[in-house]
Amino acid sequence: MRRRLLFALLLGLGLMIFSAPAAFAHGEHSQEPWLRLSTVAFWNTTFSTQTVQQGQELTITGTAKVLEAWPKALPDPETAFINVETPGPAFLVKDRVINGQAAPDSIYIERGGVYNYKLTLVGRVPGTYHVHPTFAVRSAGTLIGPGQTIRVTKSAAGFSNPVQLYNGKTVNLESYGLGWPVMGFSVLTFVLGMVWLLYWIVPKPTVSRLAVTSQLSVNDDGGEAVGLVTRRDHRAMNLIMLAAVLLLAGGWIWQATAFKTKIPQQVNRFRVASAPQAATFATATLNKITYDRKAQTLTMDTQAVNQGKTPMELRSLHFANLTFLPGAASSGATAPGVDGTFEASPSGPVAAGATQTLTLTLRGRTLTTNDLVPTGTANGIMTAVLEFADASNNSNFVTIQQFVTPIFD
Amino acid sequence: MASVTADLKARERAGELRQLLGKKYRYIDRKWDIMFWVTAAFVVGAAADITKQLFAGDWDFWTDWKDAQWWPIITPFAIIIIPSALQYIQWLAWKFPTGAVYTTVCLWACVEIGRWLHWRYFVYYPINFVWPATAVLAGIWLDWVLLKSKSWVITSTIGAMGWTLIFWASNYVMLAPFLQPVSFMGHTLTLADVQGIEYIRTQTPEYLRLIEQGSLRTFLGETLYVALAFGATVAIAGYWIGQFIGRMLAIWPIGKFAKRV
Repeated sequence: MRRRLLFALLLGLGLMIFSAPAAFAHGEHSQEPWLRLSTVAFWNTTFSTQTVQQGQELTITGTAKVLEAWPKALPDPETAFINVETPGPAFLVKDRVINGQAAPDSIYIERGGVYNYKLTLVGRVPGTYHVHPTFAVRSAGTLIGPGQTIRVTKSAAGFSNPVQLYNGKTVNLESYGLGWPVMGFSVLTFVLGMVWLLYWIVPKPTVSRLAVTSQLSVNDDGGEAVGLVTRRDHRAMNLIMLAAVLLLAGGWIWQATAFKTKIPQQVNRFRVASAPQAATFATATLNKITYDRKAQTLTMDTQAVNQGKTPMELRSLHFANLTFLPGAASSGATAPGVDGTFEASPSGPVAAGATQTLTLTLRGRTLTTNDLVPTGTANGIMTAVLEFADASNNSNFVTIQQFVTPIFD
Repeated sequence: MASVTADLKARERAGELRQLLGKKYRYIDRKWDIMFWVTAAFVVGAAADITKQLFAGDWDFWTDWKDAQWWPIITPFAIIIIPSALQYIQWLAWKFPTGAVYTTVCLWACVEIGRWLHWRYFVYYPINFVWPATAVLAGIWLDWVLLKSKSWVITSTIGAMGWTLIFWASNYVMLAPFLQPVSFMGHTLTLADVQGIEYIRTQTPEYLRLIEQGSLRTFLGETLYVALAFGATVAIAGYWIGQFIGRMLAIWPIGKFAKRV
């Protein structure tokens, strides 16, 4: 019986260990669909490479839009931070440009704003990582953009992170100041503390003193006559206190001499205006959206209005960080940056000045795999962004929203 | 005549206590002392670290959080609580002025191990970005004030105020190199800021960084001095929270339920 139990335990453990897939994502599926669908949409995300050596650059570019459909349940979007999601500091962020402006810190944003970003990273720790651009908004949390697996290979020359100071000196930020003062000064304080402690703990008994101290009031140490705390103890403690003062004074003189120019940490937050958009020529509404769970098919009945002077076509459809292009459903691999296809009926452009009903159909499991169809949640609203392009290749990104009607099994 | 008698009685009693102090016990040897100091080190270090994390987590983690406004207010308050409790316990039980030093030394060791193991070797943050503050010099001061004054009121005022000043001053020595200016992304920043931008903190957006914000900045630009004065004051409150823990949660239950021989 015991052997069987042991065998079953070992088998279970083995199956658990060897059948567990490696985690290559950042938990974006754990965020509720309404939050991801109605807050920020990502598109045109590109990664300059899939493999970098330590110290080599990788750039991530793309566009994020703070949707007009921002949920009323959340405070208005005001402060945001565009960054990357990696497993710890496997990369260094060397540059962050948003709508043409260098933005080291957070930025102030607006509802409906479109933000083109370019993030320049440098490979740091060898390994294979799943990397996402992120758009964090205060009060909403971090919204995660499309991901890409990036491999960082080892450099024979090793890795350093040189940063030039204002005084012209270049320091390696990987280890600058580590030996002294960070560890050196800290260890000295620890040593002094240990001297203080050992003075009391080693020569004097501890537990048995209770028999004496319990007969004294809390503010009375009995003085020299009892011998709990002697004049010698006072002298020794004065010396350690003096050493502490000297260490502190020495540290201060050193830092004041070594680093004459210092400034406080900076908080450089500023407003970044939305990227310029083409004049509005397209509007759209979403009349009904249904999801057939058995057939795994999402159908959107939309009404598109072309207010422009040239025909317009529906170029792409975006849900949160997913992008779908028009075309027949295919089980094969999609192009980089594309998560699937949709069928538009009727297909073809919308004539200038026309209002047209478009039925968009998405087949397959992409949306459900990404947990973006809120059929089983308390808030079953879906938001999408339609990209319409006119004959001059101008694009309008139109946000549409509707409650989903599920067709259960 | 009465005063001479009282003096003689006091001397006699002091002599008895001195004799008792030197008494060799059959079953209470130094093994008990070693066991206490070593096992308590982990508990005390953990208690001090948890208290620090609860009140001042990020300020102790990143160089770009160690600012002149909030760091000197929040962290000294957070880390004086457990030293104060230990000071009461160790002084009451053994008349050892070691509670604050013991706590800060244990905290130092536990946190250094944690930073190197978890933050450096597991997730590759450079230690010069995530170094923990040291409170040992402040602990020496606090115990020294108690030793000299034998007064909780004086220790809580003079001691706690000095605690804040010494905590900030001793850690500023380590922070100073990272306050040098650099030009980065077209902005003038400190090296500490550059560390915060470059070394990715997953799921920690920059806007969560609570530094250099608030109405203290209206005090003629002398934010640091106002912050230190305020920090010194709140450290007094922290000290008495620690005293409450020491007196009411540690000592009082022992007196209430333990059998007195």
